[in-house]
Amino acid sequence: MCLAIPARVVELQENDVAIVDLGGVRKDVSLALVEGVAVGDYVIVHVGYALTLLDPEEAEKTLALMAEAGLMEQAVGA
Amino acid sequence: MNLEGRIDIQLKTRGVAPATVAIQSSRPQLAQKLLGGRAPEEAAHLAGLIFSLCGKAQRVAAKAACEAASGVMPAAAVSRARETAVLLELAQEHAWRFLLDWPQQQGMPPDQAGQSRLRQSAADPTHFLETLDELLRTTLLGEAADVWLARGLAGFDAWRHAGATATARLFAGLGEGADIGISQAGPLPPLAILEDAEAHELARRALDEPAFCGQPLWRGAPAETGALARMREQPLLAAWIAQRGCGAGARLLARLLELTELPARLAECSAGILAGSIWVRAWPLSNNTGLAGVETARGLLFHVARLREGKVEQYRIVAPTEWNFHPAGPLCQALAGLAPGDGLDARARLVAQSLDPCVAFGIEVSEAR
Repeated sequence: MCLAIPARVVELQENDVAIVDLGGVRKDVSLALVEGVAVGDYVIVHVGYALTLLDPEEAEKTLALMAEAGLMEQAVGA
Repeated sequence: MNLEGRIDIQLKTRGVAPATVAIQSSRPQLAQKLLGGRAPEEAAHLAGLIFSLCGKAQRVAAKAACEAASGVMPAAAVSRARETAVLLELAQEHAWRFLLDWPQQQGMPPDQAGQSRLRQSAADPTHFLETLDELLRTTLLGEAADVWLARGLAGFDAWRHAGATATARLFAGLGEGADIGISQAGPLPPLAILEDAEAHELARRALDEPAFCGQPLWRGAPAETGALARMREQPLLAAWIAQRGCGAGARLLARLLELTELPARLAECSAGILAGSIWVRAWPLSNNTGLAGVETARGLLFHVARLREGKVEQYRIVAPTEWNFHPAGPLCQALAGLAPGDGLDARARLVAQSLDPCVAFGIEVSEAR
């Protein structure tokens, strides 16, 4: 299964690139495949591309669920 | 950062020949942990959120499995809407391979604008089909889909050698002679021809044997799932396989054929022809248990749900990546069978990409001691 962790956009850069926060880890992603992304939005990231713009409530619910299952500690610890 | 898991592939060589292959997956089995104890509607919604790379397929699979567990069959219109959603998602994944992955891997510029247009149009099937048709005529095939589909193997070879589109040039790069990375693993039967008794057995093993979901076997052996398993009877692909074998080229061709035939498949769905039997199927089993199978870009996705007093008691998912990246499965066989010679590294990467795991993967090629 392709587990998808919501990533929060923390900074928009030039050339359709953004910095996202993924369970406490920051990484660069391309915004070439999504439209209208703003700082604070949640996106799903796959192989370096932001894919889907998520509803913030749903994203937070997913993150809470993953935390509840003990997954986020693993993510930060890894 | 390794939350979604990854696949590590080690190819040991002796000189320029492959010697041994080791595939290690750290993909976690989370279905029971995340979906157990929830109401069926909630489980379906969550499955789509958590596994959102193929979220439509996951949500459809969860709904169908829970319905089957309750002995409910969906209305025909519901089935058609689900199949349409599954097909649109599958097409976007196939397009990704030709517009982004494969060009990037070969050092050619990816067509992000094309992939983006396709994604943005997915909310409306009619608009999506127009966008896909335009992409097929320009970027992918360079001619109308029906003209391209009428080509036999000789016509296909002429097309790729003429190299009018980036996709044609990528296929030309596969060269002549035997396919790259031939696997002898048999195909997992596509949903359309999966026997009831075999489906029941698969669900039983997924429930009873925790390890089965991570390393599934078909009739005691690893099997390959995906476009190649679904499209083997298609004349052009069958001719390619007969002449060159079942390798990376066959897989990529199967995807392109499936993408090109998609308008016809979608028309079948909306007309209600064959609905519920090719892309999505469900089986009610004893003991409040339901099995659902959904065909995705990467292959067959199975969900098994057992309900108790209206809540999920047991939940299992057997995902396509687990079949194709089984430690002794199609990828392993393909890498072990790579022809000795230069560029083993690049060929190994192409083979892994032709099977397309849904998580990040790494390939390390090193000399065996």
